Amino acid sequence: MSSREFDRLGLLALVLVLWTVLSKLSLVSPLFLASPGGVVNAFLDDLQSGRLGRDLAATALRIIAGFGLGALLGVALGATVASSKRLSTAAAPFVDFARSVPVTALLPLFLLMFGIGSSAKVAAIAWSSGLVMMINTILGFENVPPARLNVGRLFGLSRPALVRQIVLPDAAAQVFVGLRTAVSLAVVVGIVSEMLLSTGDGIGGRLYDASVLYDTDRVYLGIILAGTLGYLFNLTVAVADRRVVHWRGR
Amino acid sequence: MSGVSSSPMPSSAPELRVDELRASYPQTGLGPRLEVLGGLSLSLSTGTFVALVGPNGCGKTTLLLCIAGLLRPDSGVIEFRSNGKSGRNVGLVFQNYRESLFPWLTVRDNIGFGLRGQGLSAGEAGSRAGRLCEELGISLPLTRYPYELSGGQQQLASILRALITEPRILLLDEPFGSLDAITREELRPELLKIWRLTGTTCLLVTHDVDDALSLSDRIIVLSRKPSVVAMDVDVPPPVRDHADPQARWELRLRVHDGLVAK
Repeated sequence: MSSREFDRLGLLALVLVLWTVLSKLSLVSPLFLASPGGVVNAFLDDLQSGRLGRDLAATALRIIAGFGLGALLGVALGATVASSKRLSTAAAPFVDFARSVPVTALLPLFLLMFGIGSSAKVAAIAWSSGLVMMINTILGFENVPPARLNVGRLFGLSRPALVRQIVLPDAAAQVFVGLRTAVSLAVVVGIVSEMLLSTGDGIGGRLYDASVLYDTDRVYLGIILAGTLGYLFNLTVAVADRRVVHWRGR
Repeated sequence: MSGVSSSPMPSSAPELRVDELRASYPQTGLGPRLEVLGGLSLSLSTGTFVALVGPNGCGKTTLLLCIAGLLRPDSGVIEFRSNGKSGRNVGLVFQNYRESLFPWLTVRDNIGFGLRGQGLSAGEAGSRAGRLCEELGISLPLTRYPYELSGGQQQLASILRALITEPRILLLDEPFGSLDAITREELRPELLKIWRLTGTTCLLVTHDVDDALSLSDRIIVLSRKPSVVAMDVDVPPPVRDHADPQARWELRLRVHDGLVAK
């Protein structure tokens, strides 16, 4: 174990000890502050009943589906818009408006369109991550250094070859900036849409229900699970970013 | 009249002939177009190393872009000596190697890039890149990425990339402009070596009179824009090789006077 990992585990242990002491001293009402033991018990109960696995899987799948769909559509749409200066100039105010609309304001519409099931939630995630991806794709396409393009032109590359060999790899850096932003947003929108369009499954739905039932242990459990899920999604994209865009910042 | 002519010229013809070249850029607002090249004429003999110096913004880069075919002049003639191949066979090295090299490709693939456009496989292009380095006696870490190299090595890599298609003319747009003084000093002999070994006609744009004196056998000074040729002097080998400090000093003063003259 490296000293850095040692420090991190130490800090985690310290937080857990402080949390235990604080809840044992009953300085804070147990309605607001769950005890570590209570959260662990809730975790083990839900794990045994299979609920926890189902909730995690439901939320993760919605996020993956929405984020994947949003990324595909966003990149495709962004590349199309960026291919024409006229189109991108015309589209700019509409893109700005679309991203100014809080995605939560669209949830009622998605509810009407797709019903209470997973589709509405996936649509909300896809909408928000798709917009982020579209904006970053346009940025990436439009900001290829002119010198790089001139190298391709000088070697007589056709326009499709220029796009494939220079524009796409160059824009990848900005596309991955988009992916990192979009995946965080996808987790937020995933949890929020599960809360607002609750069907009782998924981490967001469970978290909301636990709050209504004054089940503080499960509220804490839900927060920790949502955080863990978000952390893992962010980490995955960050690792992919470092591997693909190995030249970033260098 | 504008355009590129590749009609066969007699063998005594220059490698490149630029005649009455005019180029301008649109200005912001409704003003008239900004004239950059005001009927510029010059010609380069095969195998020479010519330095182009001139005041800031006088159109040196514009001229290179026109010669490279990346910018359309308003009028004038750019004529290449026919070499049997069609089209222009010109290499271009940019000042900003960080922007012009491809960070997603290894140094080997960067150097071989121009061959991919000619339909060669990545493997073949890569081995040709390695062979070019060997032929020119330049050792670069070919399997690394550009950002892992020093600035001087990166610029060498982009010079090799420009040479991979065996251009007749190599255009160098302030290739040392982003490098420190020591690296400059180190790169000059490398560039001279490349020039001698390949026999490529070189046109070097530079701010640095010392670069011009140390590398070229002819210096062309451009006037302020709209620019034309203000001075055209030969650099005798003893001057270039620092063998005659007195003559070098005098020539330096002449070029300098040409630069600051109205």
